[in-house]
Amino acid sequence: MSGTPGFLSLRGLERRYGTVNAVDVVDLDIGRSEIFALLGPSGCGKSTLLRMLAGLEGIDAGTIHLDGELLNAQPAHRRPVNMMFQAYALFPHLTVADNVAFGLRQLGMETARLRARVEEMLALVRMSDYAARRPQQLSGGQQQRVALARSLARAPKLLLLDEPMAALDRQLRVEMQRELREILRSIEITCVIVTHDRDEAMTMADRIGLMQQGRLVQVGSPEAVYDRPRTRFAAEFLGPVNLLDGVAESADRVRLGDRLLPTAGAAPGARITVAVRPEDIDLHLAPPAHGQALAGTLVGIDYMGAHRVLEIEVPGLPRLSVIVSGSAQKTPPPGTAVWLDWWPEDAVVLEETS
Amino acid sequence: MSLRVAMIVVFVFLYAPMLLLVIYSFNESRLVTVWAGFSTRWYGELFRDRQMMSALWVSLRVAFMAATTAVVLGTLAAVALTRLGPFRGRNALGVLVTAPLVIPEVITGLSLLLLFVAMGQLIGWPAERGMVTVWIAHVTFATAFVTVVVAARLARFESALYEAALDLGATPFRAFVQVVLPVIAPALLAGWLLAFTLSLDDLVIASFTTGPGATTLPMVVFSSVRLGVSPKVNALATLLIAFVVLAALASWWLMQRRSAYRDT
Repeated sequence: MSGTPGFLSLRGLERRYGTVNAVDVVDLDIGRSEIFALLGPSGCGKSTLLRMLAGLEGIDAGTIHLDGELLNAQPAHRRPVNMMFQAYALFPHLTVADNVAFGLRQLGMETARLRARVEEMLALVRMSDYAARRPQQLSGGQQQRVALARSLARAPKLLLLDEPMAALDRQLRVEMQRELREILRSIEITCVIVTHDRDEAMTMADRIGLMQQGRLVQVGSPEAVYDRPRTRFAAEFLGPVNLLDGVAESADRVRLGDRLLPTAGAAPGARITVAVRPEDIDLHLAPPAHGQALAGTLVGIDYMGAHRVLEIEVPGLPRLSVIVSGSAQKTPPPGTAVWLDWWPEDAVVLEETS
Repeated sequence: MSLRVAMIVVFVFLYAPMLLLVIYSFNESRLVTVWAGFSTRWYGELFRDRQMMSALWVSLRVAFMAATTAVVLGTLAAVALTRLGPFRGRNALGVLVTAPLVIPEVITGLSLLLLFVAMGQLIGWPAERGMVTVWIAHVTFATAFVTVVVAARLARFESALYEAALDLGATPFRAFVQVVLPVIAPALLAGWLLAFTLSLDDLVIASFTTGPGATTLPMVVFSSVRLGVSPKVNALATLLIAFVVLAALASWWLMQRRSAYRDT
């Protein structure tokens, strides 16, 4: 965390329910026009944090500054913050156009300007043809676009998206993620997304904040969080991973069983856990010349279309997953003896905090 | 099969008297028990009966005012019970607001009569009992029914709708008026119809709390029947049954009609 406050700046933010800290001392800075994803399992406090930003949840300690302005004491309806709710919360008694106009009417905007703004917003989300419809006459994807238009109409300084894709089916999700990201980038809005879906967080966000039990455990770009997880939890939450316990032989060698494998940044002599992504493991059908590869047996193959997941048994270690792509004919049959190694930067030493 | 028979017996038991009453309202004869051919004569006589018509007018006005007041108070009570979260005295409020549902009407009527008399002596109001006191009395029990109906609707109200209104810049009051009220409007209307019907129906409480010049329709019917049943009363009862059935169907339909205003 840098010392200079961001466009959105959270300091020591806390929310308590009884003795449980739903949000536990969160410090975070988010830049202007940045898309930031709060990622975590359900119950980790990400939704509570989002609702605190919206003003729908109280603050027990800490501060929220947006564009240099302290938000703590401002009630929800005075904050320059708008939220797209999880199930969209479109007003069922109003048309699409009136839903979008709702926030503008609260500003007392004159009719001509209001109409123009509503049309502009509906055009942005490509829903102009549906202005006179009721929300319940729209499909899930269309409802999402209307909800987005409604939350953007007041030109908020900060847009909050609460599980934006949760109400959509899987196929539509990928399509809408891309479209939503493009709209958000085109209007250069500062945005905080809450999601439990790592793919959604990685596709949409500039940076990810991983939350666990009310705390931000790791913040960084999707690549950084995925490639260099700091904890066991971070490693596992962002995707399939092999976690291997061993002893650091030197700063760049870890002893796994009777072999020394490359790693980076270990404290010599310490018991460490290294995380290696299945796609970062190199599979050899003959022992490599350096003689320090893990020797194992191929025991299972899962065909996943574009790639295959191989299960490898190595004596003294938990079963390893290795992802290989390329032609299916090159995959050896189960029972084949194989050798595994990897590049030093692909075996990340975890902090033993979890 | 026997279940079917039992059901028919129950329906006959419940509705045969009313059916008989409806049939005899179209009887030509003055004698209630002798059928002498079809006629709408008693409906004509009913509309020419000034006492009954003025009583009907009193009843309709009382019912309208009582139902409207009950909807306002009942909605506020329902909001307090379902939306404010726990507060001191919430359970007590819930019990007290809905108690008139189970308190015998005689007791409600008597206690209100005593209250009005005592108030009249202490503060000079109400100086005498009449439409206003019947109105107040009807509000007390109609509010209970409205509260139950509206609270049931609010309990499944999607709170995200209210929060979305706040988020879009509406004050809590405007969010309630512009979003919550329109969405629960069918329940409010159903509650209003229920309260209106109950007020129109009531004999016991009105008898206790009314005064000169404010005789309600059930009171006229009841006293006229004691002097001997006129077929006019059958005609009136038929109209009332028709109205009550329609109102009940309408409020049932409004409560059922969730598809158009679905928010859960």
